[in-house]
Amino acid sequence: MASNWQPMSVLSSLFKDWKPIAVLVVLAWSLTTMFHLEPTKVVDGYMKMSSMNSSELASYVHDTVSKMPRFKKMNLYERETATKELFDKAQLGNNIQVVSRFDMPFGSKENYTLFSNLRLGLDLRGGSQLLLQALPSKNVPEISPDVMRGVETVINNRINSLGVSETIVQRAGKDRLIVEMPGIKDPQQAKDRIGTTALLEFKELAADEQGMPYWKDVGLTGKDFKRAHAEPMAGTSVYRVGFEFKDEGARKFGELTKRLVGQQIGIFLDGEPTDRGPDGRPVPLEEYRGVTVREPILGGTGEITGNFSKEQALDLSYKLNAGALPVPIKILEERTVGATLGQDSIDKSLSAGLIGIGTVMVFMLCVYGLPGMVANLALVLYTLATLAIFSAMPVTLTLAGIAGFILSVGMAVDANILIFERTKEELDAGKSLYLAIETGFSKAFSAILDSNANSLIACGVLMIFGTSIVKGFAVTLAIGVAVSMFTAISATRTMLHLIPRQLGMFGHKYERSKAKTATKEAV
Amino acid sequence: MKIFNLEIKVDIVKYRWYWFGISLALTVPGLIGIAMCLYEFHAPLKPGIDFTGGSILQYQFEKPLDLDQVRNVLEENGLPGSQVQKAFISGQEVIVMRTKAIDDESIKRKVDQSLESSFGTYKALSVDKVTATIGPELLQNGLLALIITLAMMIGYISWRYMFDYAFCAIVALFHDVIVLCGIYALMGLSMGTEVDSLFISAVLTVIGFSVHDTIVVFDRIRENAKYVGSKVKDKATGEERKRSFGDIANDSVNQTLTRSIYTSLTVVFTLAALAAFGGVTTRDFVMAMLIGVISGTYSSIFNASCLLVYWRELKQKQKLKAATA
Repeated sequence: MASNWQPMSVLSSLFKDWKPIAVLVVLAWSLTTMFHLEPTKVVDGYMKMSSMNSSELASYVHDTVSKMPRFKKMNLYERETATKELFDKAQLGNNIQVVSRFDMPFGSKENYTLFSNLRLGLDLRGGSQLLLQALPSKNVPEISPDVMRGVETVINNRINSLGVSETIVQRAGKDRLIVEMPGIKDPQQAKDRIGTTALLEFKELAADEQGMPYWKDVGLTGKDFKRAHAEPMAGTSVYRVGFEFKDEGARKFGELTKRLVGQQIGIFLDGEPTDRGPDGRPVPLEEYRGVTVREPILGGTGEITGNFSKEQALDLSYKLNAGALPVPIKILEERTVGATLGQDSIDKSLSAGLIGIGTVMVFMLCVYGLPGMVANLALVLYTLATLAIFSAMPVTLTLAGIAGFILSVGMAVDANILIFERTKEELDAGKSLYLAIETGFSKAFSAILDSNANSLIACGVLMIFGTSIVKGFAVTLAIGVAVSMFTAISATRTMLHLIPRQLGMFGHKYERSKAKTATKEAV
Repeated sequence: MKIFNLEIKVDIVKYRWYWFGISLALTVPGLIGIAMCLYEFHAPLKPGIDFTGGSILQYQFEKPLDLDQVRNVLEENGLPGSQVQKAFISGQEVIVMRTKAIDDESIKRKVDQSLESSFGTYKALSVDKVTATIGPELLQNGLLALIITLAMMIGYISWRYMFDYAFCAIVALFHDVIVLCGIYALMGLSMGTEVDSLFISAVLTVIGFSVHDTIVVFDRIRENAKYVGSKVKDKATGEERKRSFGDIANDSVNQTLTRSIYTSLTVVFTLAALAAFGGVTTRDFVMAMLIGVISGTYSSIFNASCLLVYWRELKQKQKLKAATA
């Protein structure tokens, strides 16, 4: 059996001297990673940038970079770097939790803001998560990676036109996409825009064998557009969508309109007429008359007039510019959380966390006294270090993630309890304080290692197989367990040795005679 | 364990049949509940929308509503048999609507419009919509995760300890999972409590915790195992006798008893705080973990080591038989 393998002997030699240093380094790193202090003006700038939609942000960033004092001297590479930095700052602005604001501290001329930068999940900030599935169609019988790439691009374009600054579109499996849209105000609009194929087709009227009229495909679609835009029609509140063809499309459109002068052309979006009835819905097919071609259009531009409201026209133009989806998609799953519920969850988890950790601290203090105090300090370090790692990785903190973190607090305390109980036993057996602590640690270590290894196994499996909620939980628990090993071994131990021996520990008084033999034993 | 001046010592080996009996009393009703769920829902627990497909809409209206009227509106829009309940989030009344799967976005839009025209404007606090296609997949993934976790844990414990330790740890773990699932099955039957994908992660966490707890006791047994066969004076008779594996297990459990109880207490404190003061969304999840942690503590103290002793004694008897034969 491998049970004669002694992990402690290997690790203890590693930890012997640099433990106190490691504790200080970790503390310093955690504080600097967790908290940032910057002038209030700058912080507000980040937050302003994060509230813009993508096109506003792009032009704002462009303006800011070109106004930089050294702009003329910068080469292309430097300009790109500056632009990227600004975009990163806008991302940062999405996740700022203001801790406190200082008005001109220490006689400085500026106001400063202290903030943390934890990435909050959709269930805490509010937002929508959609799981989309691409469905095979008549023309595209199989969803190949190429098709998925096309779908991903189109969805990305469409969402960006919604003005949601921090969206994530992620491939999941063979034919699925996960779309995350934090802070979205109108999820229904987003879904409508994402969900439709947006295939614009031009058709001509033809008669079938029985002489019944029907709309016939002419092979000209929205793919042939260079761009589309919404514009108001003079003198009315009605909007139209103007478009411009690519060269090939312009030629085809010219030929078509030349051939059909005096006749109708139908314009269809996803198989339905683009014309809107009074209820804002597409008019029924039987009532649709199309547009009459008055003269050949050779310039490659045209317009769709369909009784559109401003929103409808804008929506259509965005969709046309984003391109049509190569295949239809279906929304498999939707999870939307309103900002109010999110804020409620944050507040409640925060108070639950504080009360939970507070109770544990009081418990430790009551049961162990001075060493309990040490365990509590280690717990504070543990909390800081874990949150700093969340902020640095960054881990997206969800409600389940917070639950995982709070559970890991319980497990972090477990390591301390194991060590303390062991140390107590050694003291009862008559060992000196120093030796009792050392033996307590080394004997407790195998239990701590093995039990945490098992928790990590469960976390690892959850990370691989779980849904996104479950993954969030597993990641925070795993990080928590790993950090707790460090704080228990290094921080608690270092601090226990720092307690003056004269004060005694675990109900044992300091005895000079034993201390003397202890130094002998230790040597 | 010592609480103030009171010395508490548990004789786990002597009363092992009592401990097993308590476990049976806990697991048998749960197993019956699970069987009834299988009959009623064709699943061991009442499955939530994550597994069956369906929608949960939480809307906050400006004025209090009559739930029957909401039901009627849903029915008119093609969602008959929907459950409508009231809930309170931050002291404000919220209407929670559970409907069958809404696969078509236009139906959802129609429902929203009718709700708004009938009852005025509302704030959508949360919308969860799952189509029926995704449920079985989630379940499959969850079960796969469970099996892999178990296999890896058996592997790890067999490597660091021995196979019989691993076996007993896994039995104790099944005990906890059955207690937890049993309670939720009974709750599903009586109160309509549904389980979602978060429940699966609660089960997996309980598995992690249960083994975590058991290992601490086993670690002590492994450490003390070298004293098996050493001489000890019997307190009652004063005679010297050899220490059996059962004596060692007894001592080990008692040496780790304080730790087991303290640790469970700290975890229970944090979970109880989450249950009492945390968000509504995670309450069921936290409650599940709470049940699992308490059961896990019991099983690691009273079941896992008892079972190990029983296993070792059986093997001893077999050896004796083989030797005498």
